[in-house]
Amino acid sequence: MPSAAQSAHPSPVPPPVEANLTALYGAMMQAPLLLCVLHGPQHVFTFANPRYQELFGGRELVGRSLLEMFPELEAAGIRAMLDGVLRSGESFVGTEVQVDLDFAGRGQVERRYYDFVYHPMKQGEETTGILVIATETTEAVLARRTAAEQQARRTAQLQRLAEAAVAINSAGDEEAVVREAVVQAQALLGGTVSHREGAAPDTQGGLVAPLRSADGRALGALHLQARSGEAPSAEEQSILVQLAQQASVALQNARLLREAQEREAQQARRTHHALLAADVGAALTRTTDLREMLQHCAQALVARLDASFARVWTVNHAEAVLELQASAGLYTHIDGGHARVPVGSFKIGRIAASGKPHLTNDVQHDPQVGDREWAKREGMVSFAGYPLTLDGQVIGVMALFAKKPLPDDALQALGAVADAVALGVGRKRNDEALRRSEQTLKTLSDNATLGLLLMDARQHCTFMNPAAEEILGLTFEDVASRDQPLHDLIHHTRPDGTPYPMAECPIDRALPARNQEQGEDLFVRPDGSFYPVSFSASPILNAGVPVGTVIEFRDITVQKRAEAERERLIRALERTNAELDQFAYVASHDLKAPLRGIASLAQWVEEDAGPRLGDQGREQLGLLRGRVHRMEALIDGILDYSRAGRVRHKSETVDVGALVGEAVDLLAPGPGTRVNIAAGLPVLEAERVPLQQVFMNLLSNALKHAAREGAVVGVGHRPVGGGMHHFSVRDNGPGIAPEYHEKIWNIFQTLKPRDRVEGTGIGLSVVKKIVESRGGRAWVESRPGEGATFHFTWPHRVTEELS
Amino acid sequence: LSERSINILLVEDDQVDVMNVRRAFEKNKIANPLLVAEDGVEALELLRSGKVGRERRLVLLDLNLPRMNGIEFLQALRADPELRSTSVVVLTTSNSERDKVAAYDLNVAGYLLKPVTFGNFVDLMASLNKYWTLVEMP
Repeated sequence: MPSAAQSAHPSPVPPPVEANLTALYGAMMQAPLLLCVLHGPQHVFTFANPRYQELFGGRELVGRSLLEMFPELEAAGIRAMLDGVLRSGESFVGTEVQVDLDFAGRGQVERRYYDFVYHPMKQGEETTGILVIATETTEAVLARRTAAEQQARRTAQLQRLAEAAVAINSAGDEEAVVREAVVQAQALLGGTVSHREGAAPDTQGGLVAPLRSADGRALGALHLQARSGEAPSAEEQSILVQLAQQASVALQNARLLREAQEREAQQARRTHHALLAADVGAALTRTTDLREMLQHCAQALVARLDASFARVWTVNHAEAVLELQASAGLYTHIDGGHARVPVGSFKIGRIAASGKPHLTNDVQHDPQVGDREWAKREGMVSFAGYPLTLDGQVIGVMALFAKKPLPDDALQALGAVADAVALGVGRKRNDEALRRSEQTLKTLSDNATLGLLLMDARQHCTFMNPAAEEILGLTFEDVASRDQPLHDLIHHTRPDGTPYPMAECPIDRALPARNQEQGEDLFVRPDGSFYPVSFSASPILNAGVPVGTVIEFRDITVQKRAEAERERLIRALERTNAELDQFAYVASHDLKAPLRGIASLAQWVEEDAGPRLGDQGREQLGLLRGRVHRMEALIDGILDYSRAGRVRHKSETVDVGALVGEAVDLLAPGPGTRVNIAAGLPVLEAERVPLQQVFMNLLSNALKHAAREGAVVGVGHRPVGGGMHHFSVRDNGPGIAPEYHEKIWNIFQTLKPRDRVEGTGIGLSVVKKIVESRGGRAWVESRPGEGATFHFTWPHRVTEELS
Repeated sequence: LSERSINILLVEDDQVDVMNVRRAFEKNKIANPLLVAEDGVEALELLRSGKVGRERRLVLLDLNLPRMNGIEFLQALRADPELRSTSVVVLTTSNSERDKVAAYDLNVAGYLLKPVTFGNFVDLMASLNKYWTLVEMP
């Protein structure tokens, strides 16, 4: 018998004897091993124990070729093994060799595993057969294989779980973690997995694994929906729980990371807000121009709050309109559509009207935002508009747009900036008002023709306006460099050369006396010349303490010259009036003297010629005398007229009733003439003579013109306003046509032939002149046929100026 | 008669006025001696020379005169110790306050305005005559 190809070793036993062979045979037949003997190159069974035979369904094997029965063994390499043993004569050991055969011959291939030895059987040197000893190891092999496969699967699953854990952990924020946990669970478990919010989700037959925070709070749960008709396995449960635990950890990490990032971002924002406050503070304090200041603030908002653009408006209260002052970022122009926003219109105007900020992190859907299309196009996300409020009044609006949401602290910072800017604008406006007021004062003081000075409590000059410098002939620098009381520079000497001590100066007295001093004085120029000034020195009291003096003064040289000229003219006029008076006197005397002579001579001719004269001669001499009288009356009238306005008498207490009575007596009205004097004529402080003349002239006029038969003349009176009295003298004469109402007041104007009514035409003009020179008025009321009333007004008291 | 007769000096440059006085005297049967001077200078000469009777003198004085006017004459008269007590009545056309005051300041016995009509002149002279016959004179 040939030995097996592998591990062949020579047999130690010599060929048994026949008895032994029989015993061996019996053992072989009953051994729990598979035993058979194959003979020849065709591997024909010569022996197969029952166990072996049983393997092949109890079929008869002896005498049949193995290869004929199972040609497929050739392909499996069995034949090669068997042929090798025959050829080499060495045994071959196979271990757990896989054999796929239709063992039982029922058309069903089975896979079995065997450990076996092919032992060569020799006849002499030649190997003629093979003893096959085999045990089936199929169970052991299969058992081992299952265990290995299980191990591999478990390892893979653990790998997947680890990968899932990594995926969940690196998902990102909490939302992504949950999302990833669901995805991974779904991938691992193959079912429908969802995340449920809340602490105790309803399982509804599925699996639930809670998500918990580090401190044990429920964060929801992963839920695996129940599959129909299939209970979830313990393994699935385990996976779900593990995933849930991983997700819990990842959530915790994500939260910690988020918080850390937020803290970091907040820190960064705080830094930016601090920088913003610093920028705004710098803008408010360093810039002088309001617009420039606000532009800096807008730029700081853009830079420090990551805004797209920022704008600042100020309120023009007079026109109720917001005026754009600054614009930084995306837009930098300050003209155009937003340059003037009416208070109350658009979101900016509404902020100004309400005084309340408007904030949104959803610009694109905010109904307050006018142009949402623009916001979408530009990707604007947030808007913040703050009123600039000062002392409860909105003085402007500050607003910005950003492409990111504005966090609360940014809005707070913005609010603080708005307050600071409001204060800054207010201060700028105050500064502006102050500067304007200073400018106004300077304009006033620079352009005043009045000299203005300020003196301190030591009477040193602290301010001079240009007019003062001009008048004094000194500049303020001159005066300041002298460090002396101003008095010693401009008022030290009197025109007579004697010193003018400060103690006697009314200007320097104003402050200690706490009393305004006014007057005129003479100042000294640096060249020693004097000039007259009028001054007013007013003490400045600060809470009752004298601190200085304001001096207003004016060079009155020209005025003084004008006054002197006026005095000269008045004196000249007085002289002229005196000359006129003299002329009137001389005229009256010199004109009347020959007149009287003519009158006397005419009479003497008449007396001396006597009867020789004849009637005609006597009549002519009579006419001559009449003309002499008229001439004399004219001369007296001219005298009266020339004196009427010019000559002033002492005013005295005049009882007008008595005065009128005397005048009537003097005029001796004829019998049948009635003169009615109103009761209650006043008592005046007046010049008696001119008033008497007025009444005399008017009464004689009235008596002259009153009706021939039943003449009635009346004198009336009533007080009128303005310290005046109104008097009237009326007659029942023929009256005066309106066209003569003005003319009758002219000198020498008469309305009737002098031969019929003797008159000079001077009386009324004298009345008018006297009355008007006393501040009164004279006029006539009359209609033809209804008499005439002459009116005049006369002051109750003679004023200083008129007297 | 001479005891009561008055020595009248009329100072008047207007001849018609001199005639007025003379005719008025005649009308009133006044027989007083009447001397006439044409101005103050002549009047002073007549008074000082004694051509006018030294007793009971009365000067009728016009104011507006050539050379020395009435006021100047009065000043000279009052300044002369011999003549200072002489009675003077002003007979003038001047109605001026200034003249009146100046005249009375120089102690005139009266200030008469010359009437315009001769009739009035006659009446005035009659009154004057009656008056001065009653007046005690130096």
